[in-house]
Amino acid sequence: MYRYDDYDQAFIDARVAQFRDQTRRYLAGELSEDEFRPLRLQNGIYVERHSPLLRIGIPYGVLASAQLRAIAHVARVYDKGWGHFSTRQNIQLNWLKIADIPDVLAELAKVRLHAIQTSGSCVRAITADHFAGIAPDEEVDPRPFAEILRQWSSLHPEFAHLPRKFKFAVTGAKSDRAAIRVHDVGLAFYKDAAGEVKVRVYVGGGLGRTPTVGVVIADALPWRQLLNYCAAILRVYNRYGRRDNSYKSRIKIMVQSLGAARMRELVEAEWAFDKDGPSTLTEEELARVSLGFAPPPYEKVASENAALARLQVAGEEHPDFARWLNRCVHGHKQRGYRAVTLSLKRRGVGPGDVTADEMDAIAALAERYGFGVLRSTHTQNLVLPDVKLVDLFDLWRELDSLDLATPNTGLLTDLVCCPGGDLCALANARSVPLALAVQEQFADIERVADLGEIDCNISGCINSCSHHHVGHIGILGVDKEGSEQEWYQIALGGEQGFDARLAEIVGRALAAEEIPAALAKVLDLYVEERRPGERFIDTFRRIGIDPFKIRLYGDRARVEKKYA
Amino acid sequence: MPEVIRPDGRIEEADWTLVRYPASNDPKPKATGKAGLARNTGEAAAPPELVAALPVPPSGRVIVPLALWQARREELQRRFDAGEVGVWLDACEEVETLVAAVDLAAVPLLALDFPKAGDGRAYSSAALLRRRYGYRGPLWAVGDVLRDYFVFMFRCGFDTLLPRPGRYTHAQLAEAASQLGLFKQPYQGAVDDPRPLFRRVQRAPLHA
Repeated sequence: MYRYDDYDQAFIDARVAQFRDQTRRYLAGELSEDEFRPLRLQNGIYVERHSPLLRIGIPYGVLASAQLRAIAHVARVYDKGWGHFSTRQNIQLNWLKIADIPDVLAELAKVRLHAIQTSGSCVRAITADHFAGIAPDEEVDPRPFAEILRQWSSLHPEFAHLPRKFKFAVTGAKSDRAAIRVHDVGLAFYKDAAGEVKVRVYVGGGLGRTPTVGVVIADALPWRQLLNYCAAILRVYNRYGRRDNSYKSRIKIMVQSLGAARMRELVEAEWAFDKDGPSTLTEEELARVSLGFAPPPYEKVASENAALARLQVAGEEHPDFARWLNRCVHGHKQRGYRAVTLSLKRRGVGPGDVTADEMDAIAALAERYGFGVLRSTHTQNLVLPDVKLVDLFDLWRELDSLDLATPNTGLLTDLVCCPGGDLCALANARSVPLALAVQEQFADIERVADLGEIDCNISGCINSCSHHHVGHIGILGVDKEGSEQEWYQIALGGEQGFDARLAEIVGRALAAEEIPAALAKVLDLYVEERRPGERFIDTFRRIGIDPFKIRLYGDRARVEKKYA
Repeated sequence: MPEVIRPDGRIEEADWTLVRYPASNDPKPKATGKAGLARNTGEAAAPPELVAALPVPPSGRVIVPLALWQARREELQRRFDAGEVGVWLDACEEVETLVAAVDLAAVPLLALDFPKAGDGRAYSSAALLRRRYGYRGPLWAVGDVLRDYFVFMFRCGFDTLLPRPGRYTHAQLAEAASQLGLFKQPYQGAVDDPRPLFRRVQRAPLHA
């Protein structure tokens, strides 16, 4: 993975020193609450319901074993011994003290971790395809570009105070696993007919209150222009994005009101000034950064056949292993290797939550079954990216004993879920208990496997941290004034990927305790209606939302259409 | 006298008077929404009556609002020619308007306002003035100019920073000045040095 040089290290060390001084001034009363807020946010610190939360960046989802151990250490020493992997591929500690955070950041900086710009109205930590560099369908490894963007956007003086947060996501594969069309900027790297790396630039995607799918404003941007072009987008946004209403300040609102064509004109006009300016990327810089993402020393394997045959036999003896192979093991560019998802979606455990002891165990597994590197996914799981085919059975045994082998990746119970009202000050509803109730309702793994691939996303509020708008099944906590109960809206038919689509709301909100049963009704209908080989989303596309409305709300569905 | 800070950390007394609209003209937060403060780019900074009525000190060096310069140019031209009138731009005003209304080669001073610290438009305006429009004269940052952002301002082409009067003691400013060099090698190019780090230094090759 990318190793810091002295410049990178000096940068994060200086950032720690700066924040230590800012914290000191805040605690001494020299900085007001209002003045300190953006400073702490741009260092990843929120003040939540109970205590400050630290969002530690995992740039483009690549994490070393030593880094995970350092997170485990600070979680034990300064927090309550656990962390939460978020849909930003980051990890959050929930129970810190402001006065301790400079020390926490200093500990993390020793292993090249930081929390710079994981929050705030700035360019946020960049997310990526979690199989970047290993996916069989990848044309261009986007990680070197993501790292170049990370460096460029870190403390960029002109874009330090944008109208609102600004999120980049990158991919270089034929299918999009990074939800790039629901980010402020999505970058799809590919090779053109001549073998040159080009970038398709999507702009104006986002979820939240106004879910929007991003539009293409550049189809074949030469990679050397990446920083120039992104600077042009950000300058246009910094100058003209709305600042009078934080609900309307994201770039998606600007793109909606201007239209894609006008947005493109503005960006192109701005870009023209700096097209061959000093920020134009060089072969040397790309080569230097790419070296940090060179393939690890894989063992050469002539054929996979013998290993596959043994796995087959083991699978016949151990049906759980067969299920896990089927769901949690993914193809790899390198013959003889596979990527493995460690499911953080376990019965009785909040989605994405991991204890410090588990972190240490996972860090050790990443060393024994790979090269000491992990990936975090935007679906809140972890991935061991380079597992030898011949090691899969042994690995499964170990994961199983750690409760990290739930064979549900991509299935209904691979729930994506925000921390919700238990911790988050914004949430309307406690999403985690609901996720756990759904896990219980669908505890039968054979039934879940039979239901097939389903993205189910639960957000505790309209800020949509769990991306419920692009879940096949999206569940949103809503506020009903005066009600003591928690209420949820169900939406169906969302999809991520290059053809991203937004989910449609089925009907009026239901009380939390009605949701698991309502989900069961939705899925029963799917099972009744599906044709051979059809996934839930395929059946939904074919039959539409109305049968689901009637199934959930009976004839009242017609009366209540206005809520849809 | 209010104090200003320079890129090399020097602290000086401000030798210009900033002419501002009365505070009552500051936009009020709306009842709903979290930000609800700023005027959007392209909106007028102040109504014409206010511009017409705003008193300008009769002597000395003054920095007047762009709208005032546009509306009352005749009244101020002589003082402008004597190098005593600078112009400041509100965050909601476009730098292109300034460039069209003011002779950049003749104006003795320009200033850009940060109506609140989180409004980052003036960073882009400064960068455009310096790099696109070639303005080489004094460029002041005024308004909500906070020490934690001094470096950003200098990097974007400001050469003089004027925090709100009373916001910092002299000792606090001196402390802030001593921290200006904390980040020795920023990653990205900016106005102060357009070269990104990878063109500024020879970075060591990495290893997988």
